[in-house]
Amino acid sequence: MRTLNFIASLLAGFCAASLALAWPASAAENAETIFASAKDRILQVRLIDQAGNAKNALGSGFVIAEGGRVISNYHVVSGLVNHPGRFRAEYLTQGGDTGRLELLDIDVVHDLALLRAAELPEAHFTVRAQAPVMGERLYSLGNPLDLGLTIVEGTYNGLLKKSLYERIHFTGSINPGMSGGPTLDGNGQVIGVNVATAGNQVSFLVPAKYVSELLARGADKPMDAAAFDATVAGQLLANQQRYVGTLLGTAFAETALGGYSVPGQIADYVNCWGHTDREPRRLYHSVSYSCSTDENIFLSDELSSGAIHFSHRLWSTDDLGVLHFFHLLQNAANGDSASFGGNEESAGNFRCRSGFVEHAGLVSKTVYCMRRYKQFEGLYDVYEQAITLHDDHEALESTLTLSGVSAANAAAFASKFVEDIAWKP
Amino acid sequence: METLSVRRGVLELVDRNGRVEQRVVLNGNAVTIGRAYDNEFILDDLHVSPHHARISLEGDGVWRLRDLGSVNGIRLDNGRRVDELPIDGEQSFMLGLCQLRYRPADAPVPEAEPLRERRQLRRAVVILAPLLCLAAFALDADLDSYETFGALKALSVVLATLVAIVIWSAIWALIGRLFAQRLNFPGHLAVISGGLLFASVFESLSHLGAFAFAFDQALPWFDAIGVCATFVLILYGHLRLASRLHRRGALIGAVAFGILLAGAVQIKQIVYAEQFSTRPRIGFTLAAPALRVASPRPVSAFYAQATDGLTRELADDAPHANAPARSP
Repeated sequence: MRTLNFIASLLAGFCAASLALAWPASAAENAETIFASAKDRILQVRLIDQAGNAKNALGSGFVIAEGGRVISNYHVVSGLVNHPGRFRAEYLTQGGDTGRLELLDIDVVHDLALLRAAELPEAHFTVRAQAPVMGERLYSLGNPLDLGLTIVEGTYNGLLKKSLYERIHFTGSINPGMSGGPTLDGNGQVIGVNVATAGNQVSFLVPAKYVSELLARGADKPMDAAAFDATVAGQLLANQQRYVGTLLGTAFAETALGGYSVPGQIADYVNCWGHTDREPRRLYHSVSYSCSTDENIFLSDELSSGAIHFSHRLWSTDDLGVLHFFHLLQNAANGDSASFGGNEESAGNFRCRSGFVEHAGLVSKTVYCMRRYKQFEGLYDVYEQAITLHDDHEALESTLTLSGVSAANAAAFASKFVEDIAWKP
Repeated sequence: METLSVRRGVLELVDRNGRVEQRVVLNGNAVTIGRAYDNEFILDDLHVSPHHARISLEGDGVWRLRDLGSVNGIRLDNGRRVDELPIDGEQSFMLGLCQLRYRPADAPVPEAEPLRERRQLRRAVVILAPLLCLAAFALDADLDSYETFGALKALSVVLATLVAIVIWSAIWALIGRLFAQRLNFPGHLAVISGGLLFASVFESLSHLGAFAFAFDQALPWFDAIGVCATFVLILYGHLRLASRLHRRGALIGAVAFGILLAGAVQIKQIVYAEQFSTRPRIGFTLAAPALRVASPRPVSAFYAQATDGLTRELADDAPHANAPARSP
């Protein structure tokens, strides 16, 4: 028995040693091997302007399942559904073959699109179920700047910790045109989908589990504009319910600004900054504190959604009279409203209501504005601004913008936000 | 004496604006009216016959106007042509294109306006209106300045305003010289500065009111009313001074022009408000906390009601006409 154990442990030790020896070798199967084995399953995805019969947008994609199922980024092919009839999608293989691509399904929150091509080889990628380990060597592929298929080596640096939307931090250079291409591990399995870069080798990938989820939905029919609108609206509503619902259920972290207590870093994915404005020639000064989510959801070239931004600005003066001071605040309030993007096709104009509100003895003048998404039923962008009427020489201006939320969640969030502003000298 | 005073009267030629151009006193003797030089009342109008009509006192003590076989006859205000017209009390009629009016000698006239006081009042208005207007603009400029040396900025605004209203008044004075043979530069200066002062005060009061009573949403309407009233005031003043128009004529002209101009401004505002914007246009009024009159509401009640109203209003917004049909 002992002998057996000994032999078993010897074998196990030998296997482990050979694996350890084999691992660098397989990692070093490196870019060259991976490129050679992957290149036939990676496509350039092109959006062709039908009127001019010329390419309008370029990205990458990869074959993920039988029957010509191709994954790319939603933002690469968004023109298909945002401007129906204006574009068609085509693929271009490394061998120079081209063909039509049909849009089957999307995951707008994670910027993924599932497409189908009629005549593609059956060979396809598989998704790796286990998460990579920190520092694991990864290989990103795509067509940067229309220069041809390129492979980029880099490392896995975990999931973004301060992000509203799950993203892999990939240390490697992803460039425009590689969007929608796969990032593979040393065994050629898909780890993530190239989606964005912050420059200087800081790049972001959509985790591959969302590719599996999209595939599992089993979409089989081309998506028309109406189905697209309903799908996106449903996904956006569910997404806002996820994060706004969570925020509404928890107490907002507070921060002090002068004698006021105000909502501060309300979630770890909210990034906050401070700024003091004190110029000697000015007869007032102000201290600002602003927070926002760093990411948003791409809907079209003009419109993005799913972001939170808020700021507090404490205004004070020793030299201005009360009329003069509140005239200054009035001008600031009217000039400060945020730009939300979009165009006439995607959103209506804002409509506003204003009035005086009171909470815990603190009176504020507030204005609340909403606009409707024309394509996506039940979704709104909102802007809220409140100025305290508490003192003749000091006032707190707080603004809040939420994009792509339901009317009920927006009202609940704005109420909670204003109620959390308190005078605590 | 009493019968005489009834019989005595005055025949007047009145222009379109009601001003008397020519007048003859009727003492009891007959008066012939026409274009010929041997008439007692000569009318210089191509549509008046050389010997057009005759007015004479009948045995019953009533003046009677008779057509002397003229081409165009005697016409009443309603356009009806008559050969003979008994005149009892004030009476208007047309000969050709001439509007004539008979008034009995005892027709009442208003008391004379005191000469000195009126002149003093005018002088006060002419001096005070520009000064107050410039003061209002200076205050406005000062309110918009939040840095040291704000007074210098206010001064530059005052000078620019002064130059603008002087040029404006000079143009109107020239128009007056052309059409009414009156320059009256100080009068025009008072009109434009009074109008601007009114606009400034109206705007400040409506903004303060909007803040105090929380009716920011109605403010565009108040602004429209202010613009319209300012145009009417300024135009009425200038027209009175620079033309021969009477009060009513000037008022009708000013209101018509004022409504047209204010309408044009308002249409531009509406077009601007309906133009797509990626930013909310909030029109937020703020003033000293002590000026608040409206009661504050609980936060959640305000947002719930605002959301309710806004979602209904937004649902009523039709999709933009240029939005493409979203079918492939």
